[in-house]
Amino acid sequence: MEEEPLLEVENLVTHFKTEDGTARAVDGVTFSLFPNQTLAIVGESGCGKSVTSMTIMRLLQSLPAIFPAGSIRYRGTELMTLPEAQMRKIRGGQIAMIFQEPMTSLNPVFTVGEQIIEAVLLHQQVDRAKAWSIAEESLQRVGIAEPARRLQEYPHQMSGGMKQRIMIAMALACEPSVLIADEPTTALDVTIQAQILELMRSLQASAGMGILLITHDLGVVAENADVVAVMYAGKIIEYADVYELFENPLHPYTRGLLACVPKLGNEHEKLFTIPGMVPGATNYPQGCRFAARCTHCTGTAREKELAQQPELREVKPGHWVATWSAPGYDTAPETLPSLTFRRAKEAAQVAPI
Amino acid sequence: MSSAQSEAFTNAPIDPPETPLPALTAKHGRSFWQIVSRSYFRRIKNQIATAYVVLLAVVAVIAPFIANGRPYTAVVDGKRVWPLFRMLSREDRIVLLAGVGFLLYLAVRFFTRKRPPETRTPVRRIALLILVVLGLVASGGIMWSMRHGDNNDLMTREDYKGITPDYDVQGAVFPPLSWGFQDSIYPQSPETQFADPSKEHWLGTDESSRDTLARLLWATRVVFGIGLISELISLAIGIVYGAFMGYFGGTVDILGSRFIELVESIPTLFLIITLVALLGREIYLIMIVLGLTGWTSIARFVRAEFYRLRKMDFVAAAHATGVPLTSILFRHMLPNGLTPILVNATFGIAGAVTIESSLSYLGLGVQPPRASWGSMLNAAGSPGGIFHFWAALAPGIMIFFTIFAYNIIGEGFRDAIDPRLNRLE
Repeated sequence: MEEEPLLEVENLVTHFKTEDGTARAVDGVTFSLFPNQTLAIVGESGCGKSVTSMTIMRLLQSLPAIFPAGSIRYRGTELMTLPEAQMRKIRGGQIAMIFQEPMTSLNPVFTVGEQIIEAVLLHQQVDRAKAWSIAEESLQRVGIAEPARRLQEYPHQMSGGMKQRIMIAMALACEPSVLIADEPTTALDVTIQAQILELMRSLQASAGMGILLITHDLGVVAENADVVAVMYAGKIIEYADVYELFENPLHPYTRGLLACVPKLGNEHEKLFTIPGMVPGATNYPQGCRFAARCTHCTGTAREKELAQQPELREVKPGHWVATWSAPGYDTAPETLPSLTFRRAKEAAQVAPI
Repeated sequence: MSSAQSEAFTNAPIDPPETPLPALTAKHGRSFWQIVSRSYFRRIKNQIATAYVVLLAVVAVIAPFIANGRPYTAVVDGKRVWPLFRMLSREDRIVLLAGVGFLLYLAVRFFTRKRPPETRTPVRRIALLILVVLGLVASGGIMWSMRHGDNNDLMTREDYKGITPDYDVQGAVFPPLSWGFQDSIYPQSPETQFADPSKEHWLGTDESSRDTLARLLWATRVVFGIGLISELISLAIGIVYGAFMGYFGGTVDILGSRFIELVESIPTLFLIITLVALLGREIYLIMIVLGLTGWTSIARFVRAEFYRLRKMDFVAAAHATGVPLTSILFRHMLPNGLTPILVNATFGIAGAVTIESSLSYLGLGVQPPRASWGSMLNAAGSPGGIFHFWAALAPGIMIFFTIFAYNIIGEGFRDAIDPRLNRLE
């Protein structure tokens, strides 16, 4: 029997009104997140991965964003239409978020203790003294020495890695079941990166959280993710189990991304780059959005690519891809992938790796 | 670190250091305001200006107790009375209670400084309780004495001094300066009007033979009240208005800005003159009008600050934690943008003092015989066109120094904030 998904995102669309027209930042994204699972959303800058996470948290209200379609369900509750007061209870309490920039994500005028207990007091029925001890405990969990003293310090007294750990402690203090980590390690040193990711993994193991990991770092993905969704120009173009994706990438963009990763020992070789640029979000081409950069599609695949936008199709059990060039794509079912993806690990057992 | 923790997370890669970190120099981290105030008070001119304004505030609160024609206590016709306390007006009462309240607030702040709950010992709680009780007793005593302290409101300064023989007054204890703002020399004569400084009247007397120093001290209340109350009204309106304008932007911002321009086009001085002509002389009217017209510059500053702050990551982080909007606006964003607003408010107080002095000089300020520096200046020059040097000197100097001090404070504050990034290290 399958576990119930924590988070189901169906055909999520976030468009922005700009002076150049409507920017289709997120254009029909569908995925599910299960307990104890890490789903990585990968893509280059501007592909819509951060906007996806902000939309899930409904943090784009102050911007002129429009949501023509889409559904976000948390344990079956539709978040898109949830009243703001109830949404506030979910934010931080059920779905927590860690931001890219630990340096600026803490309010400089409060001590870190005050900031953590504010979150605790908002979401748990406890008094200040209890909240304080919860804060201390969560600081200890993320491996900060002398938590009682650190709680009374201001953010400017801490290093970047420490601040990011504080952010994680803050996000975890309310024991959320979904953690959205938007490039949690981009701003950190490599050694700190490893520590933070390891920390998130161990906390996930003990709490059974679902983690939505948003990153452009394939190394981070390979280390941490269970399932990977590759995003390009506002759409998910490939979705598979992490082993399957790295072993057998089907989309030319994913292949390009993997080829871009520098390898030790190849010092005389020039690094591979994908030619061209991501098309602007206001004027996507009619066909495949990757067509202008695609060197892979030939023959009929090329013709189709220019004419018609490919949708995600399950070409193998547990492996969805949106490209005309993938083997078996033409014969795969024409429908959109089912809303609830099969749990990736189970799918991986079926699929020969 | 505790063994329980390392057991619970055996696979956690980060082992907290076994030895405690070296102690920091300060027990707690220094907050932004502590850093600012340290660099502010490093300058001597800031110290002097602040001390001057604090002194002014203290004088304003205790003026009835240091310059009064009635004794604290006396035995009149064999009965002990408390004339000075009896005389206190409703405003005096409010100011005094506010003063006591402020001292109590400082005490509470001192005893409940930001600390984790376990360091709040019972001793602190008891000390705090004693302070609160003392403050309540003091203010209750003052209130009581006002109702029960005297049996004769008709007695004058001369009666208590024993100059007139109508009452039998024994053991009267007078304040250091035994002249109030309305006590004239008895009997009046041309020699007692606009008298030069003497041993009895350090700064001379005015057109009604009243003591200039006493009136000068009483006038601090007007100056202080006008500046503070009008600025508080301005701050309240300006902050809320500017916060919403800056945070929401777009149409709210555009419409809000047009309304600000509308309000700014009203000439404040003429509006006040018109209203005084229509509704009569009332100091509160002036305070409210100054407050209702002076908020626009504050709103502009707040708007600019919020426009900058709303894009900051910690605001998004607060949203993501589920903090309600009003709390984000006024608890998270406002303290980060407060400094330019406070600098502006300080200059606003100086402006309010100027306007009040101008109005009083034109004879539109406080109701006589109440004293204000502007009306004292006016009196020194007006009757018969003769200029009375001594009567004009003291209030003139006070107006000058007060506005000067507020401007120094504002500037010092601005300087203390500006290079803060260098000082954070």
